[in-house]
Amino acid sequence: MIKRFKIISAIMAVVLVCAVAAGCSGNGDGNADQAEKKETLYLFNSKGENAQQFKQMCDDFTAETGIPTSPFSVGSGQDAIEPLRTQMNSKNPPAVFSIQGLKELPEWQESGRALDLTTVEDADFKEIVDSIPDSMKLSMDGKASYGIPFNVEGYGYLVDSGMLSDLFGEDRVKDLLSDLKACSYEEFTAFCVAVDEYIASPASSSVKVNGNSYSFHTQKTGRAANLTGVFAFAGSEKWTYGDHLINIAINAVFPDARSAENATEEQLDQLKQPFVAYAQALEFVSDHVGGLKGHASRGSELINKANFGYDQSVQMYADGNALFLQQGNWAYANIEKVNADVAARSSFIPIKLPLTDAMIQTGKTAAQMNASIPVYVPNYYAINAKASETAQKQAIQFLTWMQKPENIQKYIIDSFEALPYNANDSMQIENPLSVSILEYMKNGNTLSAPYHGAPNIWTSEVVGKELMEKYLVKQDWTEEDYEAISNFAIEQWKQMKNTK
Amino acid sequence: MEKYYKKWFWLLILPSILLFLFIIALPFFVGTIYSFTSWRGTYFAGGSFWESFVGLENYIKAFSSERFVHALIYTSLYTLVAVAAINLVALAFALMLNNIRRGVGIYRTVFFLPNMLGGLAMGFVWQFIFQVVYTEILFSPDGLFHVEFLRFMTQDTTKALFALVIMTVWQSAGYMMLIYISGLNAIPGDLYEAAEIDGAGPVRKFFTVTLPLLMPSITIVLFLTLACQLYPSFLILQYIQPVLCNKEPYAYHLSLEK
Repeated sequence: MIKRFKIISAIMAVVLVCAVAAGCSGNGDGNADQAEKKETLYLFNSKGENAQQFKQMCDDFTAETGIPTSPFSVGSGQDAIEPLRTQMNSKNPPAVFSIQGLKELPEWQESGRALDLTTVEDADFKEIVDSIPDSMKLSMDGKASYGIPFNVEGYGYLVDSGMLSDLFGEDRVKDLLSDLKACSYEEFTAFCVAVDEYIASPASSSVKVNGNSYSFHTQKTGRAANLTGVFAFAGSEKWTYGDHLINIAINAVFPDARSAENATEEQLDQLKQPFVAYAQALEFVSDHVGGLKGHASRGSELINKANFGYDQSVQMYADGNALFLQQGNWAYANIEKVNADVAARSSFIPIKLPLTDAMIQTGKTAAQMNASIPVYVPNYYAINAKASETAQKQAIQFLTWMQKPENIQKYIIDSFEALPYNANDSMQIENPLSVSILEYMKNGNTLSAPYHGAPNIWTSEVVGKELMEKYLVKQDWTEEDYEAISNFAIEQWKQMKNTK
Repeated sequence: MEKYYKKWFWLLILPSILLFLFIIALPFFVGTIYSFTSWRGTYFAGGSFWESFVGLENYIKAFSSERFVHALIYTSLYTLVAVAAINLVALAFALMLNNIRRGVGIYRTVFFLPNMLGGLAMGFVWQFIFQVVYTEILFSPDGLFHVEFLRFMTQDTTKALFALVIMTVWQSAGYMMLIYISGLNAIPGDLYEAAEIDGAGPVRKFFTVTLPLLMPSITIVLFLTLACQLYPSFLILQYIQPVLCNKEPYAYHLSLEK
């Protein structure tokens, strides 16, 4: 018995030593040696949701050009920056990689890994780079360009036209949608209050939106019977109000992320009133929330992830418990999973704030801002300037191939279900939320994403957290609370900017 | 057997040494050196290693930050409470199991099982327990007992500390219990007999015999809980409930603000 134990323990020790040695010497890619000989193009994809489709696109590129590819996609929902850093430190760093906006650019620019695409001489590629609109350029100074936009995303209040039909009649839906898009903050809130009252006690009342009168059905019909509140609200997800809602207010002073990145103290002080308006809008929304068990209000329950998380808010919207859901086009697939009909009938109306023209420094009016939705590029494809010359050429070839109109249609629109930054009428876009964003883009009713230029983690981890911990759990807000929220947000931005 | 251990001593401990060197010592050493530079994850800002050397600047920045100091104080407070709670509960389990005759194996397994559950799975289990079982079923006004303090534990900054402690104790106490059991088994039974003859009751026996002879186990458990319990629990609960974000350990704060 003892002899057997001795033999087993010795074998185990040897095996463990071998395992440790193998772990230390391995490069994590069994095909690396073989692939290197063929000058494989390594790619890093930060969208884990489309990992399979991305691989298929790479395979098709290989089949067409003969260039072997090795894509790496992060796990679905996983933060991409750490895996990307690991890949960059590996033996085979990616030649094509993702940069998620201006916040990530300084790291790759400073390390010399992001290639300035304006320096590339390839004629076809140069044409693509030159055609990127200034507002979508990945650049700190507006001159260089470090990435090809992957897509555009937009967000606002999602509304189901079927629900509007059940509330006001099918013949009024088109006009109402149009009026909801154009109406002022005051008219919008009056509409929401009327809907909330109707949910509590249905009656044949009417409400004015953008100057036009709309009458409720005498009794709740169809999906309207499910309504428990006006807004589906993900109170436990601080990014919904920390990132996306506050971004509307930041748009009052900064037209884009670049200008926010270079904000002066004076400009930050100009955010005072827009942030007060933001606090007032958040108070209004959190006063009119639909819950799974009935109308909900501020308190500990509202930031409980089990009832007011991301999934629950999507569920409540798709089930018809609430009329509006603040979300982006990225949520389409999740809504579709719960109720495909609702997803197909959904479109955006703008998130509105009680702004005045005097609060806005960008040349827009309050009416324009309240009729617009934020549309921006969340993700860019960049080329690794430290990759070999051959790899860089292959990367250029890959991105040029990817931006061919037929490939945009096949991969970006049909396969990734994304909205290309350069979408035009010749492309067949069927996703209703993409169609809705396109409509805003065509009419010039778009805002930007200057919150990407705020100090890292300021929006969500600092402001969002403060709101969640101190205010969303508080029943009544006062004028002092609006002031305190606004001052806190501005002071923290200044402080974080100065200690960078 | 002793001869065998002596002969193959180095081969048998080599895997542990290698693992410790490459997984613990080397990253710790490299991380400490990098903390004196402006390392950005993939490169040294400013050029080479020497060009990016910033001395104590990172530490000065960290200790000048209100958020960092707040997180550090909270982490320290949590450490004190958690370490004490784990030790007490683990010792209570061990004493209990040491005094029963039937079903010891089953109890040991049941108490140890939470230790097998790691990472996000535990986060989701406790998310459900705190937010549904505690808040709505057990301790709500319509529940079994109405205890307001045990409701919305992850939505309140004060209660959150206790939520973390409850979760950590649940996970770690079973493991630490095993160490205490082996410590208790090593105490000679004749010492208890002698104490009884001298007229000592259960409490006296515990303080004069059990506790002094259990000190080696207490030391081990104390250091294990100090070293192992903190970081993952914060991250897991931060994932399940963002209110706890203010309470994440200082190391995580640093990485976020980098």
